[in-house]
Amino acid sequence: MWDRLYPYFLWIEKTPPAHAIRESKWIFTIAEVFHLLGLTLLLGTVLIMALRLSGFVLQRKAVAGIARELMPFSIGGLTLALSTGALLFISEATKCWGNVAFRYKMLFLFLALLFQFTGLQRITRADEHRFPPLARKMTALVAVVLWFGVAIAGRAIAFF
Amino acid sequence: MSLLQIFQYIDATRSSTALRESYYVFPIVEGTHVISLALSVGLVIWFDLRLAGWILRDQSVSAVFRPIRPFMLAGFGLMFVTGGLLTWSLALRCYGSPFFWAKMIMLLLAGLNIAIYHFTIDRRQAVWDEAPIPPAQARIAGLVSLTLWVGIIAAGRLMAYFL
Repeated sequence: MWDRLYPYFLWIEKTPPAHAIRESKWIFTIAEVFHLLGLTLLLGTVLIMALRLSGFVLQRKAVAGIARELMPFSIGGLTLALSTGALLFISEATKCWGNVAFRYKMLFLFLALLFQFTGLQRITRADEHRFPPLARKMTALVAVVLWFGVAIAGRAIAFF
Repeated sequence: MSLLQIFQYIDATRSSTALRESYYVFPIVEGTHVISLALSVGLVIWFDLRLAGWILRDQSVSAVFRPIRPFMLAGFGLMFVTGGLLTWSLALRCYGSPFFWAKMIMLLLAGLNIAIYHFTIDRRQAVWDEAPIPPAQARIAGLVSLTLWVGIIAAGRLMAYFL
């Protein structure tokens, strides 16, 4: 199935914006900087929420309240990482296509996003006593593993 | 011994060469350095933002800081160890990189910011611990820290790009 996607990757790479990024000396580099900043912010929100759900921090504040306050930061970090990630991707789409770490990153990204807006959101918005502590801890752990999977696979792209 | 000579000496050591040329260790150290960002800077953000009076205003400053501290310190510990190893293995290239020196200066300033905070306004923390918006000096310390960490991440990424 992945093989069938190749023509599309090739097409993306040949679009004018992709070409412009390759021509420019700075766009790719600056996009990388903001990609990393966005990722740090996003993983920071994931971690602090995981620590709260696991009972380590901010125990006197309701999870739903924390989630509400973190929302602009997680959405901001995610938007920054996704938009700059798209720029990085289109400029070297076929290279990504052939990169095994990139495939894992996309798989982790898909699962992480899915979990963020289903399982995790369900727990963070629910009443404090609706789910047992173990379920909350497992949810936190899954979110951390998935998002760190995205980061580690992302870093590994450069090594292949 | 000049600074350059020190970096030349490090670069020529056997351990520096071994790390630089290792097939697995170098990528693992580098990967850990990047991923630990989430644990170090990713967590210090919340304390800085609380100091700035932007988030978690209904929680005391110490209630935000104290439980986060061990995780944050573990993150910064990993950062410094892996960062030290990376510098050790690429000593001469670091020496020649303006981004490396920009990063070092900003790290120094971040340390200075923490020291100033710790020895001045933090001494009277009991007075303003519960305040939704901390005094100006504490707010400034938080914002300075946030700005410096953004700069440090940017310089670090640019440095690796141009090495």
